[in-house]
Amino acid sequence: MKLEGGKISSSHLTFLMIGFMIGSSLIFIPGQTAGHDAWLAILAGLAEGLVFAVIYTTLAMRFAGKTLVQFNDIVYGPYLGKAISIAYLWYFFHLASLVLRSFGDFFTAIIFPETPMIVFIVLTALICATAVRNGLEVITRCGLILVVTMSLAVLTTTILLFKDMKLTNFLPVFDIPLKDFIKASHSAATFPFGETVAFLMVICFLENVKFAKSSAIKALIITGLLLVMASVRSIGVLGVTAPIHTYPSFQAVRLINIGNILTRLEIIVVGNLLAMGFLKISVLYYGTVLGTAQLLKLRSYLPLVLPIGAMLVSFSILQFDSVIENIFFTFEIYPYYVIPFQIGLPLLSLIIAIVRGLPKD
Amino acid sequence: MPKRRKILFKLIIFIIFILSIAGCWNRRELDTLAIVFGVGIDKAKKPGNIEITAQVIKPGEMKSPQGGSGGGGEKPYWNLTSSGKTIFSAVREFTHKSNRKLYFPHNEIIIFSEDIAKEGIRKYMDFFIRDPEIRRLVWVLVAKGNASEVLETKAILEKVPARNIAQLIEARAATSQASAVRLQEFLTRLMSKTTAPIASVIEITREKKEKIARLIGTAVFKDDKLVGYLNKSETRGLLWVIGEVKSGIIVVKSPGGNGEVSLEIIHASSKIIPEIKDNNIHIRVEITEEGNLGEQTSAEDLTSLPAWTVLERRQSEAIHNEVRRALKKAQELNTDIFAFGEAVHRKYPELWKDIENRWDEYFPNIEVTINVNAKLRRSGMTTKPPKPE
Amino acid sequence: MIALLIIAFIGIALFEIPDLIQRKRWRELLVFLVFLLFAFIVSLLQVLEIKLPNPVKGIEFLVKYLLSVVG
Repeated sequence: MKLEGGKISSSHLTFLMIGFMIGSSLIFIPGQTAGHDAWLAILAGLAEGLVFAVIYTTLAMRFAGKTLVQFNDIVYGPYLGKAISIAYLWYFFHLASLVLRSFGDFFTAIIFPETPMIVFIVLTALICATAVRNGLEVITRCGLILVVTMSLAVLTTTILLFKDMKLTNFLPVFDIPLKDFIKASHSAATFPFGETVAFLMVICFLENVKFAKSSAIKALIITGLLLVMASVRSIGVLGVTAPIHTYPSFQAVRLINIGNILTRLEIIVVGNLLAMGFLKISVLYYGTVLGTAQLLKLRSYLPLVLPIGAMLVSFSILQFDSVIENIFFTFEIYPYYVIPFQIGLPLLSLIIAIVRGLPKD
Repeated sequence: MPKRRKILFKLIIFIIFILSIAGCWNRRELDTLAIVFGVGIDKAKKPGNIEITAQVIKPGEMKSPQGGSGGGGEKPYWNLTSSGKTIFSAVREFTHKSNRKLYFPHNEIIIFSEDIAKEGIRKYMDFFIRDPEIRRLVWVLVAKGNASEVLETKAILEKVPARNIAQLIEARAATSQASAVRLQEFLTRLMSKTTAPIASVIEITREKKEKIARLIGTAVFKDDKLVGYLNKSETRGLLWVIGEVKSGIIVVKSPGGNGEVSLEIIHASSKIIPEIKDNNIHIRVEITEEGNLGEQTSAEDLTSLPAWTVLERRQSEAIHNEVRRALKKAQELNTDIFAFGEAVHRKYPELWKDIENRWDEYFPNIEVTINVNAKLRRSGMTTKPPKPE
Repeated sequence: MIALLIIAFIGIALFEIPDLIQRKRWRELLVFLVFLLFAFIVSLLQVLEIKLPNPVKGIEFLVKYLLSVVG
């Protein structure tokens, strides 16, 4: 039974992971609750995220060629394994719909206030569905191009804002209570670094699974640096006013003004969000669809793409009534909600696998 | 069959995307927009209400050449007023008067009238930072008098008064005797617990029966209420400390005694260093300046080394005095316009927690040392004054 | 709105079903129909503005409860 014919190389995996993690986090910068120490929170979150990544890749390398759904059956047995797989599929599905919703919120709040949100959500879902139908290789190739462009855009906007940054905005360093800092950095670890657990559905298609660990670590570090850059940009430019903004990154880039000529560059941020969000949704969407097909022992995952896409759309509309609910969920609930998915179950699986010497060939 | 279906599917996708690419839901054609260049906020006659004035450009009139005999034609702008309880409601009121929808992204200035500013402007700021159409790069000003009147002043070299005022703000760099504050900077100060917001001041002068807008000095806020103004030299004193002096002329007495010397400021920077001395907070301000000799009215030779040194010293003293004056005014008003509080916060975060809420008691009595390091670099095209040897 | 929804779902069905029948993939067809029906019912209820139970509210409740037990 082969559902996916494609193979991806390790460098492609790195790019895809970067795009995936950057996803919507360039807009909701992680660690925001740490105020002007957000960049430190991101670095601390990166450290925590690296631990996650090592666990995931060790698992993936141990069960080479098997996706999360397949090896759950081996580790936990056919019944409990299926239940855990269903929980994971729910998580991927929910996360994809969350990102989709953040997209819709952003576009209706900032760019097209009068257009109904469903228009953006349906269009985005349609693009992602096309990508998923075309398979993993297409998504990865998109990743390569989009991530390179995005990194250049982040770099350019940061350079253009150098003259508006005040380094004094970062002082005094570590000006928050430790408890709040840990909360902020854990929040940064779960969003976006820990979300790479979705790659347990993808890593098995790596040409050479030996490189999984190094590419994942590379991807995490590059993402961490990009996010630190974005957060330094926002804090340096916005200072004390950063916390009141719904989308600080967008606001910071809006302030670019080079000789009254180079202004109104905020559309770059929008483009980045579009591209990276597309990658993130596509990977999660792909994981959900592939996982469901494997769970139900189908011969092809293609028939599932559109029905699950329709569910994604309707669920992303259903889950929140307003952007305030979205922000509350993202910062207050999400960091705890994901603990079993991102750390609990993977760690447990790894321990069981080592103790019982799985997989037995 | 499947192949034909695939083509059909692709066609449908293309059609959907082509239709959506035009963004037809929120489309706004140029000829349906009233482009706002400036906004003024005054008190309305009805108590509790505000009156808003929006300066909208008339694109048709902008194009026509204003030459010939006196230009004749209509003004290239239109000042609309409306009033309401909140800014947003007043802005939407405009649709009763203007057939086109007001479009704010090209707005360059927000002017608050003096009496509105005295009552506090935080409640009016919210709209300007929440609305996605308004940019943070607009200038914030306080009008001595009515804001709507300022928007009706005569702009001789420009067509639109608001544009003229925005350019006055950019031109103030030549003297550094008026503040220039963008919305973002204003907001940053407004959100700080101790730093006092400042804004540019615009007033109306009459010249040959024409109303002319004049930009000078600084408006000082305590929290969000206007409490006073800085004059020309006090303003430059403030700008020395916050490192915003771009250029300007310092006039000092000639070393020989008779006549004046104009020194042009070329470059300036500053540092605010808080220190704790005998359990007291102490602020040291270090100002570095470079200037050129620009003009002399005396007949003596200033390019000798002794005279040059005297000039440098007088330049330092002049800067020193300006800063002293600004400091005195700020301490009288008890407004921390220099952001000394934030400097203390950065250097002594632990101590700051205790004094943060009592900064108002500290600031008026705080001791400030001003160290000026002023250099004179060049003397222009000549060295000696034009007189027979 | 309802018409649009129905057209969209019929479109999805027409897009997938002929191929599945041609290849005699009955299991896939069954799963496809179940999923599509579920999606259709959920979206239809949403369009008709009938309040559906929101799983996110359940998650929020659960997390808050667990946090109060732990902390």
